[in-house]
Amino acid sequence: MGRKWEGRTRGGPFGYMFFILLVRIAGIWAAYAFLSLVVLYFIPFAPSQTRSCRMYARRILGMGKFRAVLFPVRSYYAFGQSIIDRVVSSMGMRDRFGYSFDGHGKIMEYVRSGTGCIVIGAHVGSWQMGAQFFAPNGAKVNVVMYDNEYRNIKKVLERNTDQCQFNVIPVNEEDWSFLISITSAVRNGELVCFQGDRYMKEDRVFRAEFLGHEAEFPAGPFILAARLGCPVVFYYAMRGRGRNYRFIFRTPGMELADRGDMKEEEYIFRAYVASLESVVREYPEQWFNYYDFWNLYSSR
Amino acid sequence: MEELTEKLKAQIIEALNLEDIRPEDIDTDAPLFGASGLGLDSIDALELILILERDYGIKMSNPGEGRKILTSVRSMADYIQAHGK
Repeated sequence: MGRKWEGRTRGGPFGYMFFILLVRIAGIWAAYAFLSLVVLYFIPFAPSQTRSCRMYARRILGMGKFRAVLFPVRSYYAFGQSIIDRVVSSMGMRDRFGYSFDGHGKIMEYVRSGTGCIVIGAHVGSWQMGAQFFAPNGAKVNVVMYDNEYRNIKKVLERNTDQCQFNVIPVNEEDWSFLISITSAVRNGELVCFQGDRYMKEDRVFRAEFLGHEAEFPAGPFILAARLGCPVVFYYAMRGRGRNYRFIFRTPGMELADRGDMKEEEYIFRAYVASLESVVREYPEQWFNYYDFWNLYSSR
Repeated sequence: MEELTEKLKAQIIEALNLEDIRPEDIDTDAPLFGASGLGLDSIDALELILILERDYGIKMSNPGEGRKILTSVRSMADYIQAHGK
């Protein structure tokens, strides 16, 4: 399996449709119970993902052999839960979950004043769980997506659940006109959300030590945020015990008080890596990049 | 028109840090993107969008028109003449 993420998300529209039906017919606990079986299926039948997950536990989290072998069970279950929760929430059952907000003062200030803002997240937790809170506060949310399959999933969700709470700006590597949509949305005072941890065939990457090993990140979101000159917020929605979600918001200034002589894009990037690192340390099983993110065993 | 295209070339060189290229090296009609022209990428496209916004007061909002406007230095200049402030 190569270092680069290949733009595919396992499960697809059929998987979503199945869980929507299961929640409708048998309820949320039935969906969690069925998820346990799905997890057991994925351990042997998604070998490259399982391997990446095991290597992450062993080499990055420093677990012993036995715990590392079992770690994919925890991680896959957390991943499945994030999907079920997102579906349940968008089916009008938001009150099944508890929510807490951490560091949201700045972003609410930007929303209230109509200041366009770049929001950078990662493939951790379940960012969609927070989307429901932005629209009622007057924010228009745009999500920049690289994943073709997710766009299909979005169609399934739109047909079966509440009105979608965000607009998708699709990224096409061959056509950069999505940049006009992004620039225009920011200038109109909207939120534009990226995931800052994956790239497909990007030439421009930033490197940083992340959780003790060097890793590559796409430079695009950080350069774009710096050039647009708008505020930047890092955002993660993490699941705690007892179906409680914690929405974590951080600004570059909260993470790195001293920018030294760094260029703006580098400063935003370093602050992002620091914020992501502290989130992953706290919620290690909710790191959902199931490929060789650190290039630990793929050919370089 | 020629004055505008020359000014644009200088602005592109500066914004994109094209250190080895002089304005006269850029063909006014050559494609800006792809192997046959300057070979710019999407981050460079953003810089071009920001040149139009910052220096000419043009705020593009229709993604469909981007490809046409940012085809070459000439197409950019044509658009600035028609819509610039």
